[in-house]
Amino acid sequence: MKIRIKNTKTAEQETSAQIVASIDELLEDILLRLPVRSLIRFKIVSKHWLSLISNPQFAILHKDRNPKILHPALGLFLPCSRSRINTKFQYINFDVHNPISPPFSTLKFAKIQSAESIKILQSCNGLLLCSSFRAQRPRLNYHVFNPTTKQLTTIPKPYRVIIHGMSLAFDPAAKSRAYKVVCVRSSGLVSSSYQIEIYSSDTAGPWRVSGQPFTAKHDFKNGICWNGAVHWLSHWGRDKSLYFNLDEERLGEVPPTPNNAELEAFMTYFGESCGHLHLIQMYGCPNIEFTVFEMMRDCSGWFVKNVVDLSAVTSAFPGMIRTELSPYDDDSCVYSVLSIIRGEKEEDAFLVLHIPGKAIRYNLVSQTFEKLCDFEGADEEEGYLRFEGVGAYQYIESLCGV
Amino acid sequence: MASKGNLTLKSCNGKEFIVEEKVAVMSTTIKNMVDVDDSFAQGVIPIIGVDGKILAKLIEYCKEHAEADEDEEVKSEEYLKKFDEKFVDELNLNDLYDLLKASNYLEITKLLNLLCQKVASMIKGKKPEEIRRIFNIKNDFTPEEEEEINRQNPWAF
Repeated sequence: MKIRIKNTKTAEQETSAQIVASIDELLEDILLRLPVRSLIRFKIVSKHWLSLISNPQFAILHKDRNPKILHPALGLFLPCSRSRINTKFQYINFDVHNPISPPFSTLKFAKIQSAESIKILQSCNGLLLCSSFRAQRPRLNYHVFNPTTKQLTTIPKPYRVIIHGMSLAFDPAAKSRAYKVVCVRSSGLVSSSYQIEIYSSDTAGPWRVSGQPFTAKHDFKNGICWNGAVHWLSHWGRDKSLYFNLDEERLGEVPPTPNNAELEAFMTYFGESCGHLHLIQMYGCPNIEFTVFEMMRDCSGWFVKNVVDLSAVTSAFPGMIRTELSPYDDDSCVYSVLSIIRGEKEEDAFLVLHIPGKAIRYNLVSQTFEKLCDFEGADEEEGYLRFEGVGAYQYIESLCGV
Repeated sequence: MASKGNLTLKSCNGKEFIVEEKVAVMSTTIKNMVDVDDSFAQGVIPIIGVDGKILAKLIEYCKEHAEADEDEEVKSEEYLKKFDEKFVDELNLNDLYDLLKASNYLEITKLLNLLCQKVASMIKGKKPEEIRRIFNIKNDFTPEEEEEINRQNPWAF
């Protein structure tokens, strides 16, 4: 029998709701059906609720209940400065009609020694990979942070050599509940020879060498986790991109997009959303028209996802049009692609564009757009993009423990 | 005395209901009782802690679902979905929680899921103080502890 009937004097005065909430099984069954946002809010109901919701087992059950449900990003974090310690983050809400207040505005943790401040390196399915600033100490500390639960873990430092890149791989739909961090370091044997090491959260270390040293010309700083692998573009985007499959622990290559054989990409957007890996490469100044590529599921190459024409956006926001005599072609304008966000349905896909003073949401299917926000001090001089090249990190709600 | 294939269920306030066995055994608890002890199948099964009103509701639900399980054509999935919606919508709050309690005790999984989902959708947008009121929960945090949790998650409120 599952019920717990109280035989105390107060039993008669207890309401049915109260009894339901006092049966842990029932309470948990109800809580497991709630969205992450409600659960975080309900932590403050009582100590008992806090302990139920904070239990790592609960997070796993909550995840398992809907393993296939996609969790699209709710917003973007943009660091206000690339190099400054304790920098503020601008948060862009994707839902302008029901905005949420930002999960954080600076990243500073009491738990971390000497109040060191940290920066974001990568966002992956609800977890952020962060590091300390090089200025503070030559050997960086690396952390995995869940901005929803505010849980932070410092991962052990890798082998004492030059680190070329760190990438977080976390797939909430995978059987394994662990996340991995992939480190690309100098192999120490020959220059431009690299070695992969892996840290896995289920064993909490130590770092483990995977495979043989290899040579490559890739941008290991900006790895993206997609489809069970970490992907890196080649420098300047002209050559094959490289990936490291995490299950098989092997490297693979993907041919470059068709139109970049000669040119070096001037601006690149490379990112993942809801199981899709996207690439935009621009040669010269951003053009009014550009192509969004998506990687094929089997990693055999890229296909054209969309051809975007921003003329309607430039008409609505003339500040985007370059007025000074430009050495580039006439169609060039001022903007950058901060992110491509996909949803459950095809028609949910949108671009987040940064134009002078503003962020714009541009739907890739309906080709409609709306302003997401004005950046502070929006009357900036023409042609200036405050958040160009700083990186934009998706915010995805997750209860996953780190 | 129930005829063959029927069971008699007795609520805690003495009301008796004669139901088909296939309806009654939607409750895993009753099924186990009947399976283990044949005398239950002959006599009266006491349903502890569940009054006549709630037991009638439970039987109404189980009847509909047991019949649907037997004949999918008469009662389609869509029909059941509509029935479930109407069933939970017409419950007052007290009955909702009483039913939840009873379906947990009687292990009527489908109904339990339905009711838990209902409660979840009712409370998901609520504030913590409303939750405390609904479930009569005492806030046992000190003001300092409360402030600390709020400080960590200012955006959630």
